[in-house]
Amino acid sequence: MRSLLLAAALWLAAAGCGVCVEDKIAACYDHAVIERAHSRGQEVAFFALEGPFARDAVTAAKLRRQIESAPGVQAGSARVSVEIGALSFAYDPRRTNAMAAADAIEKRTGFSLGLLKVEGPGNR
Amino acid sequence: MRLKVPATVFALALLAGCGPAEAPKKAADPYDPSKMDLKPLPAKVSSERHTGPFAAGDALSMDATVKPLVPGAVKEIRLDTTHKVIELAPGVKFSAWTFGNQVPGPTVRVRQGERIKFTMTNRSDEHLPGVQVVAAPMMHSMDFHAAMVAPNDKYRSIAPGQTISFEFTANYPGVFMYHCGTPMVLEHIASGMYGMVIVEPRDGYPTKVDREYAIVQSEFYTKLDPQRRKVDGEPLYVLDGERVRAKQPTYTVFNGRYNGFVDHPLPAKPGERVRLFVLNVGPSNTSSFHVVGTIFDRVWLEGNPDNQLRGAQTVLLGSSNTAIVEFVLPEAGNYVMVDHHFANASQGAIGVIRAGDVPAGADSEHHNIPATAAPTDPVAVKGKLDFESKCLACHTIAGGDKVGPDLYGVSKRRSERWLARWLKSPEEMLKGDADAKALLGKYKLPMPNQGLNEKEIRQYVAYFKWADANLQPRATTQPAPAKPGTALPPNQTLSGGASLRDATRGLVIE
Repeated sequence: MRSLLLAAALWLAAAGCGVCVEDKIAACYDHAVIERAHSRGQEVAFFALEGPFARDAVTAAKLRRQIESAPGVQAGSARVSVEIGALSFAYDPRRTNAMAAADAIEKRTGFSLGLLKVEGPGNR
Repeated sequence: MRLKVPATVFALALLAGCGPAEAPKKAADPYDPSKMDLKPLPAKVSSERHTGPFAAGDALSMDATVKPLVPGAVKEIRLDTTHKVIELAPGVKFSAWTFGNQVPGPTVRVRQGERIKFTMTNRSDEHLPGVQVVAAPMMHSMDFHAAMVAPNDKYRSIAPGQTISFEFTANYPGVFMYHCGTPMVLEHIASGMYGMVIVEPRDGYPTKVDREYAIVQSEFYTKLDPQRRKVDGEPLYVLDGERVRAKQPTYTVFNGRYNGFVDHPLPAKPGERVRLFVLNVGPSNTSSFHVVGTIFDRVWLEGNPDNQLRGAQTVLLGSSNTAIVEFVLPEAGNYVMVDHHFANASQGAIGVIRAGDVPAGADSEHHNIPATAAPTDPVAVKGKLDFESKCLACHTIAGGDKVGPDLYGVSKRRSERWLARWLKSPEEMLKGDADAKALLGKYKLPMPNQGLNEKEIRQYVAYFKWADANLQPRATTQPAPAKPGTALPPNQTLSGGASLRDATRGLVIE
């Protein structure tokens, strides 16, 4: 958890083309996922993806599967940008929260995640 | 008695009066950072959705004609982002992303030292009337190359429905690009999100001109919509992600339109001096910008008169590079703007400045682009259009050999079956076909596989057969119709005029 918070702080301080927070969010932003999530009372979390990894379609597909196998994560909502190093997913806040979901994903994938933003129906 | 003073003594006497204390003052640096505004205010982001016009502000010009500078030290401009379908070429409806609901976005004109107050609402989630086939809403941002600001603050991406506002001062004169900077930037630019900012020098330009036009060159990378959707009965084209990464555009155009200024030349008069503000957007290729029939009296690289060339024929522009070029049009005629990388010109980066009255029927010959007269058969018309967008870099019809052979007479030299096999799979033919091997032996370069489908091949063959039956080669000039009334003028294909559009409506390239 501590690593998550530290990573989040670092990412929030980062700046530059393709590396600032909004750019990372944009890389894994899917308007339809957000609309559907909010209509279900779900939240959408955006994370920076850290560490060395293969920036290819195989890695992206594997990550998507692993994200959606985490408890409380909405099936079909995972979005991954291996080019930019960012991911997002919708989850049910009654079953989990962004950090708990991230912990579960970190264990499954071995990657470190840095929280960028949580978007709920009330804080768009 | 006349006193003789040696010249050296006289010179020394003059110098004696110029000691250090009275040395002429060094001219002030016009780019002194201490005189610039380098303290921009923070950007503001809100969920306030704007619903009015997509573009607003006196400083904006909406087409190639650049409006004169408007007075006022502060210029307020709005450029909202939209997703819309544009017609890139006749019959090519492309799913674009825009600033100000047009491609390229409006041109902004200010004076050095003036302040720009910019506002943008991300309206990519709005459904425009009658159009239901645009790309999914997404985040967008604005990156002004004319500004000196923290990009993580001013150029941040905003979600659909959000609005961002920020201000900056135009510290340097020049011609600058603006574009969406949201990942993947390449896709956002290749989808149409760019435009030009003109920052006029504080004291204006040192020359007077009669006309000012903005020319924006850019590449498009298209493929047929995998879902085979249509717009107004014509197939929808979308961004081809593989082509854009491989830097293999399908169109390279001026101001968002294939051969746009061939169909609608920019007006001028003989003897006038013309100033072009030229931006090469890219996103990946260079432009070798040239105007046939004149010489650039002045070239101001990056649009700044301090960076001056005189008597230049061509200006080389990398991606996001700009220049102002000025020239005189000596006599009445069609002066052709062209990317002298002719592979780019053959993809549509060509246009005409028409000086005075040019006799009717004097079709532009597209300067080495051997546009033939146009067929009346819509299938052959499609073949001609494809030929002009994909083949002219290597082939001509009755214009002589280039990298590959002149294709005039090809339907008589080869059987239709042979042509179809060759177009479908040249690499297979080279394994065993003697004629194919002979072609490679003569021209040294293998014919690339264009990935054509059966319908496209039929269209090409129809065009070749039509050309062989209806055109009459005329040595050094373009081939003309063999008989009056058997062909339309070349620009009937390029412009897709009303009658031709009607004739080809409903045709789908699959």
